[in-house]
Amino acid sequence: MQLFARRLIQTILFYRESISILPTILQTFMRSSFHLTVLLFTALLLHSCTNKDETDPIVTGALKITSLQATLDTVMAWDTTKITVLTNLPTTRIKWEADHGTLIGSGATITYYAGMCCIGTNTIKCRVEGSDGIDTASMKIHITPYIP
Amino acid sequence: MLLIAPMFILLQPSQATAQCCAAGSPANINPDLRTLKTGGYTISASVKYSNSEAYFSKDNKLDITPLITRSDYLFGSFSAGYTILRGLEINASLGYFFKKAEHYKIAGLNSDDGYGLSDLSIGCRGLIYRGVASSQQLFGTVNVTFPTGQFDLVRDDVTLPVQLQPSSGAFKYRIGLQYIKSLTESKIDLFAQGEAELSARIKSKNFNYRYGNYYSLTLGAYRLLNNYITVGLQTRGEWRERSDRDDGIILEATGFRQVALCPLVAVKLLKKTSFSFIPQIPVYRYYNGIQMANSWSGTAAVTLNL
Repeated sequence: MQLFARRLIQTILFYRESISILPTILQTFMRSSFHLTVLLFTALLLHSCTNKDETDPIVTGALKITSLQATLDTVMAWDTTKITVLTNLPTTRIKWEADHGTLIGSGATITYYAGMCCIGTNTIKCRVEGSDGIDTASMKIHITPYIP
Repeated sequence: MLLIAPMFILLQPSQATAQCCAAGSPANINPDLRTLKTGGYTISASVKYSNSEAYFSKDNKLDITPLITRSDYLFGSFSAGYTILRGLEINASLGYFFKKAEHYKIAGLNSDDGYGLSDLSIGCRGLIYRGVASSQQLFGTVNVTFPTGQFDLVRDDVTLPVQLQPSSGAFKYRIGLQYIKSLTESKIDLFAQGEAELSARIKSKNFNYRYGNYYSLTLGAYRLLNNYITVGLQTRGEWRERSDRDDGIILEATGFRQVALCPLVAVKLLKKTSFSFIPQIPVYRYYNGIQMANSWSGTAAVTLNL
């Protein structure tokens, strides 16, 4: 115990000595190229603190989603369901997003599945864009546990 | 310690898993046996490949192949450390996923993958206790992981799922203790490290999720064979609690316990540069629910001490 206390004191003295030479160290630090690395990391850090949430999608024009449907809206984990979006006018772009689970493919019909880690009710969002406007819609898919 | 010391670095980013809903950058499992010298720099670059293809429920391997047949990733990391005071180092680590893929058994679509910048970890490592001639050292570590990487990666106008995003999307806070004991006569270093990591909740307009807390314990022994080569063996235990979504819905098929053996070979290439290779082979796995489990992984690292 005594030995431990002595070593602990030695450690504290260690730091005290270091603090006394802190200005010299900081000077060296600033001169070195290391500060470039710090700047890079700081920039990334600030980037991480920005809000990445998109604002609400703007819905404009005559283009409308007339149907957003899945072949199955309740599926077992790791089983797939196909989701199709229909619109009243031609589209130039169809964007998909799910809060949980995976969307595979692209275009007006897409395949969706979710693993066991995503069981529950998941939301799939679709956004269509065209020369006649933009529209969005969402739907729910319920994922049940996998049974081998 | 001082025999092997300059050969390794540990500027750990986040935790490691390879299965569904994996959470960000994998852990660097290189042991850090260095003595901290004021004004010293350490720079390290590493790559890690991990492969997962077996499904587990509890500690049983299941003979099933659902939709996903395999998942793997190739991850690179760049780390830098600077000893600002004698016994106190600040460090930062940044990762990049070259590939983070799932392989499917769907006709016409074999795999899907994400890639890009991963998260940034900044922390410090300070000496808490030092024995005579550094024969024993106890360090404390504190790290914060910032979700700097891509968490909204889109392919063909489809947002990739969480498990393929390069970033975990969450702030993470990690504390740890490292104990190093050097047996100078036998040229052996003993290493023990325990860590706990807490994840902040990801709460955005579309997503409300919290990764389970993560704990790890590493015990290792390393022996210097000659002036150039060090070999070692470490045992790493990992435990992740279950994740939850939508403010408290526990996800039963998340979280795991695992024990892995990690043999190590390190070669001193130049006076201040060393190369190390550490495979990680799970010997015990316990997964909640049914999950794809990590089969093996390997890390190669080059470290430069200035």
